[in-house]
Amino acid sequence: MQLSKKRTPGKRQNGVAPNANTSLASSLMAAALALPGVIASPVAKAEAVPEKTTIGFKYLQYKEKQQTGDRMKVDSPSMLFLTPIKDKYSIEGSVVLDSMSGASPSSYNTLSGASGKGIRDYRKAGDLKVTTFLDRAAIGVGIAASKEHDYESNAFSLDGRFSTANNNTTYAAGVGYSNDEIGSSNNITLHEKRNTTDALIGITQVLTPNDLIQSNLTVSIGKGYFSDPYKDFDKRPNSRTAWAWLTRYNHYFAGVNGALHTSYRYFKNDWGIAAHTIETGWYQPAGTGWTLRPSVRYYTQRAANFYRDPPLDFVGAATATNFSADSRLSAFGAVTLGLKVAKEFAHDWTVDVKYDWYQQRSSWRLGGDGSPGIENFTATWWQVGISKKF
Amino acid sequence: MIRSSFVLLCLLLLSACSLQPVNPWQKGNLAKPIMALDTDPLETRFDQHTYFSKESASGGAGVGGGGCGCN
Repeated sequence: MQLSKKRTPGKRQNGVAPNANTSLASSLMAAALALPGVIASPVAKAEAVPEKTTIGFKYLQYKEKQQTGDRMKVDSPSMLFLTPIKDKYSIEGSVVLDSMSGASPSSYNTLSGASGKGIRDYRKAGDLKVTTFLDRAAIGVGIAASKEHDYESNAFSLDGRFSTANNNTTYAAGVGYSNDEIGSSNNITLHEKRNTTDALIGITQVLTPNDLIQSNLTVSIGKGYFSDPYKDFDKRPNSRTAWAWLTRYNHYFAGVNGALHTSYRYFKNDWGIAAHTIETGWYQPAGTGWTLRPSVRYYTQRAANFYRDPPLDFVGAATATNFSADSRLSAFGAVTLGLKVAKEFAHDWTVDVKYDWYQQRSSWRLGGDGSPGIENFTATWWQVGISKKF
Repeated sequence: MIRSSFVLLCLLLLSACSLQPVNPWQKGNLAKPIMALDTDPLETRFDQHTYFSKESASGGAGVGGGGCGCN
């Protein structure tokens, strides 16, 4: 199908066949909006080559604290680039630099607890993806890399998306592979590896002129070293298989020109962890280019079957086949409250600011008491972004 | 869980048959940027990375993201 670059508003055309050249970029957008990328990339439209080049910058400032004091701070500048090539391809990529300082949360790390030494660490990460557009289909090949002084990950992905003739249904399938190398500043002789293979199948369906739904199933099979080299007695299984089933639903309220986004994810892995995530956000255009988006997220997880509550049982830890006191493997619930404000200016400039407040509490776990003996954990983060299309 | 997700996928397929198909000229609202499933990819990357480093669950949106020392 020849894709028009014009974005004229939809006009009824007589005798339109389901897959006629409607010259409505918008007719293709909906399915386009739906696609997962290397990391869920939305700009990469489904079967339509992007019309414009986009460059975006975003700065993240993240801080966390517990009752016993402030913990990690992270500053992260990032950049995104997306451009069409010859009406048949697109290239997109992003880079991010994390700079972390402070102490790890006491319950996460036995080596740098309340009295622990400060940490200063950096992470460089980037990804690049090339997508080829065919008739009602798109095929993407991507690479991603992340480097820290004690951890390096290299990943590859291949995904395809295929739409029905009326562009109301899009099927997606993808595979990914990552190769991770793990070291430790506390033990320079540690050189461990982990390989992860993952796969995705999904469907995106236009339900009505105001309703869009997507459902994806992913599986991730990891083999190798999963223990945390910075935690005493941490001994995790040398394999992990995880399933995630994510469903996203968007509804447009024509009366107020607003959009409600809702998603639910069920997660389960073979370490005994099951988790539910529910997230919702309301997009409200407020005139002259302004958009407000309040959002709420709730997360709850069951503990891993080898997780042990504090205080640390040294004998049990030393003799157990698998053991971890990492509170990220405990049973807890978490809530995020967020607000984003974006303003679109002339010539396709956009500026946005977002604030999120996040808290984990054992008692917020759904359907149980949660793991005892863990401090509440709070994190807040700001994101400031600017982007330009041309 | 796998079974239930397949059930949902099948329901979606069936719904596609039973619903009145949406025509190209009816997709103006769906094409609006605020109706995109991912409205801001850099924001999504940051948020996913944050949750990935603080929670046990991840995945569902894509493949091939790779790992990091944060988890």
